[in-house]
Amino acid sequence: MTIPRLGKINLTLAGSAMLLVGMGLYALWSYDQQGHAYFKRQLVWSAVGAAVIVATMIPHYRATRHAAYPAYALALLALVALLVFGRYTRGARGWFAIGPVNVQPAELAKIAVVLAAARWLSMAKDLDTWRGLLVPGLLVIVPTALILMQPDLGNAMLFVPALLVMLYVAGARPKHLAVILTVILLAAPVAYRFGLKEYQRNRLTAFLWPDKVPKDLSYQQMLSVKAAAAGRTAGSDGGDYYVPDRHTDFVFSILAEETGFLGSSFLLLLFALFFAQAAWIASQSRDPYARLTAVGLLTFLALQVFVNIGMAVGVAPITGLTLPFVSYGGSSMVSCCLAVGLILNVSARRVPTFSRRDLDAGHLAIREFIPQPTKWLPG
Amino acid sequence: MDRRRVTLFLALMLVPIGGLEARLAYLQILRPDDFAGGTRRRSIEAVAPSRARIVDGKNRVLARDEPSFDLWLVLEDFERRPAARSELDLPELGERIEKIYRRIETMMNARPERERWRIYARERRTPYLAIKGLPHDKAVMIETNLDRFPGCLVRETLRRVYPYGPAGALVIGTQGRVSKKEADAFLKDPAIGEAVDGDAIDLLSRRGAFEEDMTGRTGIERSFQDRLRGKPGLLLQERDPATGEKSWIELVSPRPGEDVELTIDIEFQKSVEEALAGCGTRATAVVMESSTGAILALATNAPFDPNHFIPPTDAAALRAYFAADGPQPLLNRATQGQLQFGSIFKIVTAIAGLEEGKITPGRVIECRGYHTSSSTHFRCWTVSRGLPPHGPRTVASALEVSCNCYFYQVGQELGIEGISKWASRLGFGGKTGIEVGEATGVLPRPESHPRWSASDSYSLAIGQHELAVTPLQAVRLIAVVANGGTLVRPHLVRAEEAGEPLRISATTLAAVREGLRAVVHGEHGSARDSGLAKFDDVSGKTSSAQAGAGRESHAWFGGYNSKVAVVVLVEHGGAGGAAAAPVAAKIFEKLP
Repeated sequence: MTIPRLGKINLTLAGSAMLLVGMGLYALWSYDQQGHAYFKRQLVWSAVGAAVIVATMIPHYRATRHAAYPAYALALLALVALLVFGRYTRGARGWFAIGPVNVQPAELAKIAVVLAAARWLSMAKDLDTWRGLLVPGLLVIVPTALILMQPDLGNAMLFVPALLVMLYVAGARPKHLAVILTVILLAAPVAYRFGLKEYQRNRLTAFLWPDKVPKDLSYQQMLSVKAAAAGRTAGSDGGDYYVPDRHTDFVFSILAEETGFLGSSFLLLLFALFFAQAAWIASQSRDPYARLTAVGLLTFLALQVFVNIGMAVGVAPITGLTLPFVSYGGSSMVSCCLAVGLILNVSARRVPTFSRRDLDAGHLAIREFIPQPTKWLPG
Repeated sequence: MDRRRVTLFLALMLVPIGGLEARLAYLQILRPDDFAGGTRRRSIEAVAPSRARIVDGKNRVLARDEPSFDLWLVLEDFERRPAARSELDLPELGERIEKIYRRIETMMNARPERERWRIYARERRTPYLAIKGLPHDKAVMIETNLDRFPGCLVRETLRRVYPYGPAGALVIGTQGRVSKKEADAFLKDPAIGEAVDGDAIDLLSRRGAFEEDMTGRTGIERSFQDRLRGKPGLLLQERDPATGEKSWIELVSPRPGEDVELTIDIEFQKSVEEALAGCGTRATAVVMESSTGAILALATNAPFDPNHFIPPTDAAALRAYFAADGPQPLLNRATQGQLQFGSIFKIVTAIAGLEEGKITPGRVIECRGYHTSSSTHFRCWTVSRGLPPHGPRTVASALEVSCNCYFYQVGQELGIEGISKWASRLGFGGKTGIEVGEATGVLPRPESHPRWSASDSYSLAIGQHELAVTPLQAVRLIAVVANGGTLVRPHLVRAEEAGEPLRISATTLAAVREGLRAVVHGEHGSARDSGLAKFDDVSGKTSSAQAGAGRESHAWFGGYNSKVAVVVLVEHGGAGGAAAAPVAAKIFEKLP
């Protein structure tokens, strides 16, 4: 266990994440003008998040490789326990209340599933066959089903796309992946009809055919879109719209309203920078486990960002997903920081890949690795 | 494992970011005005129309709506300060809050689980009507200490007031809280159906629109409920989330009810009620204009105050009103009491006999105390009192002394066909058409009595047998004699209408009138000593109708002067001349 030197920390990734947390804090500050209770609590969670990042970076990321399967088992156990003992809040069993803290097992399951899948995929030899896709598929479908039973459609629907991306990066045949994707898309209408609860159907219907559902279902989203539009180019004074759940799921609408196109574009830019940097880290890592971990975590975060912001501006259905780093809430903050910590860990301890091109170019860094012939003196 | 795949993945990921950026540009730069603004939160509220007045024949107000205070609660705020509840010290408050919560629960259960918390939160922020008719001091206390009573909204509304209290209450009627069904029916007004869709009406119904309203339960308040109440309106409330500013648009304006003008004269009504005092609770009097059927007074001797039915109600008073063994003041004995009639029915027998040609005004029938020598059952009332028989009688003198034997004979000749034909024409056994609830009474008819015997005819001829009449039917009969043969419709609400001429000959009427005049003014008249004799133009007939073994007879008096017909009934009061006629005398005294 060695603490990575400061210079080895990827500052672009860490910096963009910090700025995103900062924007979230700004949104909460202006959301609750009296007392700033949300802001203060989120400040505490930010500190906790920073501690989580540091703690995640201390052990070598390979340690997580050994912990992957136990963590996966633990996550499944937590999800089952939630279904058995969990109390309904807002119509779903998504939380465990441990003391003053609400723990959301689905958030932690995302990380555990990525680690477990990364470990399996990094060892798998037959990913180019249908058989080889069976175990990774099961690995993901079980937690997905458990989360769907809570029911939490938003989080559950992130898992399969994340797996597909990991499979692709791990070297599965694009043809197979295309077939799986097609099947899922074809099955979606059936699942829509039989697999979803009425409110879930209503939300999707509200999004796809806004005229067909009672007004109040899409009301929240409508207000969010209006608030965002009211921000115009440089932002308005804000507070003109009462959007329910604004500090959590609809936090983007606060920023869009208060900072306008410039501010929200800046937020998107930060996310783009974050994603690009994480992808670069993944691509630079020679260790398949590290690369898959980074890609998996990145996919979860990215999908969540797309769906959440899409929801806030009216181009995606309401799903109840938080905006990573920005939304109010400890569970979301801690799991995002875990992910960032892991990616930073991978970045700090990466063994650089080197290709034929690097060798041909006679790259200096690479030369260091070529053992110099020992001088042999006759006699 | 391919590094290119990671790069491709990264490129794919930037596509959605670009898409979101484009969407933001569209929303915030290109078309902000299409999206922003116009987010006024809308909600609809049902508006009750103001209930119209009930006035008497001289335009004195008998019932009107008067400003009052209602307490509405926003539960979320109210429960923030638990002490407020005890400080308000309103006994029904706890129960009322329970009721509001039950209503919210019902709304929640109708929705998918996931949405329930939201409905709960929303409804707890919605004002609900908690107390109607908030006492004035409580209203002032809340309004002057708003911080002590968070979530309490005092709204000014209207409350029914009956300025004359118990006077005329039986006619004016009472109100009671509506049932859910009645509240919903009121919401389903066509004008509202045109303005909003069914979902909105459902929401209003679930929120309990009009459920705290009052509706007419007895009397004119009930019969003219729709006319008095008017039609509901709808308000569209718009709230600007930016400023919290509210504005209202009237989608459907409420149409107020129309006043109802009664024929009653409330001051006279009061004197009639006073005249009945001391007759026991089961005494009834009806005074009707004989030419038109307009009822000037209708009273029983069981007073009650309709104000007691308006919240805040007096529970003890209401319990007494509804007690089964009590005086049952809400029972309109004048229209709903069906009682043995007795001798006054001899007027019907007389008219039938004269009109059917069985007797003439001059025909003499001798009373020997008994109708037949073979049976002692059908005897004249003189026998049991040890008086001599009436001897030879004409129809008029038979009416004067109420001779049974005379009418046994006429009844025998008429048979059931003759009697029931004329009784039916004169309105017995059917409804009179008055505006409030009434009973039909019982009139034996040939078709319902295939095995009718002569002795049945004797009984019916003197107003016994199964015959049962309401005091209102009785006053109608008296009016026919008084007005010269027109059957009028007794009515309480001012109306212009002609009665139905029965084409009774003048000689018949003259003979009956002569008999009835003699009852009051004649030497042997049964109402001679009742105090009526001093009114020169008053005629009438008494009746002491047997009302079951071992109980006092029902005391009846039916009389008229040139203007009005009066019927007084004292149930189980004994002799008509002694118990009922003196009351009628007091009534004639007070005639306006």
